[in-house]
Amino acid sequence: MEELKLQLKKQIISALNLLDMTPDDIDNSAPLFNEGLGLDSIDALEIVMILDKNYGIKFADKEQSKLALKSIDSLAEYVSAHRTK
Amino acid sequence: MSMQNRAWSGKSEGTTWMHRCLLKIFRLMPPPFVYPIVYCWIIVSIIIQKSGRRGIYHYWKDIQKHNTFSSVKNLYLSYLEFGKSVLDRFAVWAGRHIDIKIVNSEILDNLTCKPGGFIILNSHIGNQELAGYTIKMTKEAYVLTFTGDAKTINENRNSKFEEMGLHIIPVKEDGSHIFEMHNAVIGGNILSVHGDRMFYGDRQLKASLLGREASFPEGPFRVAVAEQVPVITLFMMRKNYREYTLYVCQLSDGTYKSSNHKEQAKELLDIYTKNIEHILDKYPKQWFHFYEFWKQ
Repeated sequence: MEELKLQLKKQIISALNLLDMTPDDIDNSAPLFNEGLGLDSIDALEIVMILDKNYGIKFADKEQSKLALKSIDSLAEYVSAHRTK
Repeated sequence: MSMQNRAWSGKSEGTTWMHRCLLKIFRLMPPPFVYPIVYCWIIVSIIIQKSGRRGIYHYWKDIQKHNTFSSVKNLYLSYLEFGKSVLDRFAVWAGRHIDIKIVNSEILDNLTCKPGGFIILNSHIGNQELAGYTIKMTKEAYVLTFTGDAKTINENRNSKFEEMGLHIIPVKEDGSHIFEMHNAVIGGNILSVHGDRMFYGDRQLKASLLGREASFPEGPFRVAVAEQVPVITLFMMRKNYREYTLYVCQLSDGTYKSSNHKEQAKELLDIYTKNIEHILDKYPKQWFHFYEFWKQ
């Protein structure tokens, strides 16, 4: 699971072009959006597309995606439970 | 001016009652019989709409480099052109016919015939909404709309939207409309979104427009590059109440020179602004941003 979390962080940093950040800068339990990492809905879309491309994950509804995208911890849990790739 | 102030308030003018009246009038008579009302109405509009008046005056004076007299004259003519465009739209809703010459129709034909979604990046130039009502689409189209608009005028728009296969995606404060936009595109549909009005929060892109730097919302451009689908823009330009020309311009085939999405979004924005400049060369009076577009 820790390896998956690191992989997700690297993919998010690369996709969102967060040049001044390293995986260590992202707290696994911190919120990804607003007061946490400060991401917004456009970034959320980029993350959804990473999950689709790399893990074959498609969110059935918005509520499901909101819960999964809460933090790196919740994202890793969701990916390990639903990945098809 | 803060970005918050510059953002669109989310509501179009007019009431449902007014819209119904106009539809009834246009079922009885063609637009030229109603235009005289506009001649008077726009004088009142110019007097009471300080922000709109200033925005259009500065557009003529500072951007189009006209002298003071010409700027004042063109301020009136711009409002007049806008008023007529709005009435023409109601006339079409009421069933009146207009002739549309389509420039580059093959671009639209190719995209609508092939499988896969595409994005239309609209602008507040010309009679944009009329384009949606008059062109035949073989795919379902999803239109991103301000919530205020959706509540106020959907009652009248709904029947026309259903007839055309148009669906509304209301802008939501939590940004969840982004996912609806994504689902529309991956579902092989058309996504129609404005590229020139702020309603995505504070994130913006800068680009030169008519020789001066302006801000644009980052959202539509980032969504477009993230989806990697073709992007076009449409300009429905008015000649007279019966004749319009629809310009179809391909902005991207879904591929970009730059490697990351932020740079790709800027690349797409630059192509978009070049197309706007080109159309404004031909139709400078059909610039319908009634606020200080370049000032922030």
